[in-house]
Amino acid sequence: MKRTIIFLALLAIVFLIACPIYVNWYYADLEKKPQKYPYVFYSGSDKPASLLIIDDLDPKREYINYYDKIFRGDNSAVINGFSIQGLPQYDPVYVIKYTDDSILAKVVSLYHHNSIKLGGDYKTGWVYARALHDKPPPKQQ
Amino acid sequence: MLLFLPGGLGCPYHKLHACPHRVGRWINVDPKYFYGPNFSPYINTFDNPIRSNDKDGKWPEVTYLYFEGGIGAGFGYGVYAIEQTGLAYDKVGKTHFTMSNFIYVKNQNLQEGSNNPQYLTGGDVGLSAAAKQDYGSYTFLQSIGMPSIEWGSGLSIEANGKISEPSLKAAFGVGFVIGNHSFGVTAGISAGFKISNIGTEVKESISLTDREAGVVNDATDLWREPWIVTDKHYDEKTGLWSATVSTRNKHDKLIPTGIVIQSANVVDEKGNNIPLGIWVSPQYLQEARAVENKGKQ
Repeated sequence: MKRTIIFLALLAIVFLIACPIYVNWYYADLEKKPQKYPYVFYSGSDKPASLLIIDDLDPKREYINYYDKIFRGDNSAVINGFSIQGLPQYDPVYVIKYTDDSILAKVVSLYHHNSIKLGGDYKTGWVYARALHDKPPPKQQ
Repeated sequence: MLLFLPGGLGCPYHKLHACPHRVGRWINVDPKYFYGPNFSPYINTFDNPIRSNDKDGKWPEVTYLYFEGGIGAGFGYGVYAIEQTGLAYDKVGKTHFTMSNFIYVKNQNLQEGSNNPQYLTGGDVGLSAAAKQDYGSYTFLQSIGMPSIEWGSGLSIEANGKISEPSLKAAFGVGFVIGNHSFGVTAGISAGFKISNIGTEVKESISLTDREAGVVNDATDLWREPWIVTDKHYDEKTGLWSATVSTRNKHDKLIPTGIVIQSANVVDEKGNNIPLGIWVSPQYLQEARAVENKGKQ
């Protein structure tokens, strides 16, 4: 019993020391990744719309089908199979990697959501790679 | 316990909660007493009129009932993951929600100009059932930090910079969560001590009025009616998403209820218009706005 408590205490101490070091390294490494702006134009609209992001690759097929239709100009496309979590159009994301077929990209967004309690300042997931742009969209009047 | 008020002084007027001045006590139960089985159906504001207020006799503020699984550790910098799923009851109706977060906490208190400080001190791990009362908000939307609702461009919501509330949690089997405007109790398998100021992200939430929630409840024969968002599509004119609320029956058949919901997007000064998985019915939003405005007066 005594040994177990000592082991758990040591584990907790190692964890408390290792976490801050890892997080510091993670943010430093992230800033070296390429930056892209995520947005999409729906057919007939010049308003840049938010690009949806999926947390993991489970709904990959539904997600790709949806954006394939949107990029073909089919605005009647509906989503059933994943939730609508969007990314900001005017703030960049960091690209971590691509899927083997290069259709999806894994990104990290550090957008603050203007301090409200909804997203903290960290969001990661997969997005449609064709909707990532080097420059932000033109400002709307 | 009945609430007695001095004879002659009476009690505040409530449309839903009768209190004849001559008698000086409530003569009918709180219409939403079933949300709080541990409280007498005759009490007002949990017998604490200073901490809570109850202007219309309905259930005061926002009550959360949810399951939570989480792990977090760090000292200033750290790793934090949490998943919550449950219900929120407010003045207008009911919300089904799933919240989650996995972030690498970076102590932004140390950075000048940061307006969203995040910190985590200590560690905590556990699975628990929890109840939380947010007595600083009137509606679910206000509670999650969307206090200003505007009709400017459809149902878009302007974020006005509310900072996530700090929470202090100590849990050994049964624990307490204390926030700036909230308190709660958790029970389950958990251990640890944590002081944090980290917002939990809404993965998906659906808010309906009591009447609309009743429609969904009538459409299913399941004990806990599932709310499913179907047929999500983008409206390029408003820049918002629309969908329909569906449910399921015992045979796993999908039943559309015809209740239309729209995304409540966050719009900022840069022009970002971002959907965050928060769905509301137009009726809920209208009533929520009225309740929040009434609360400000």
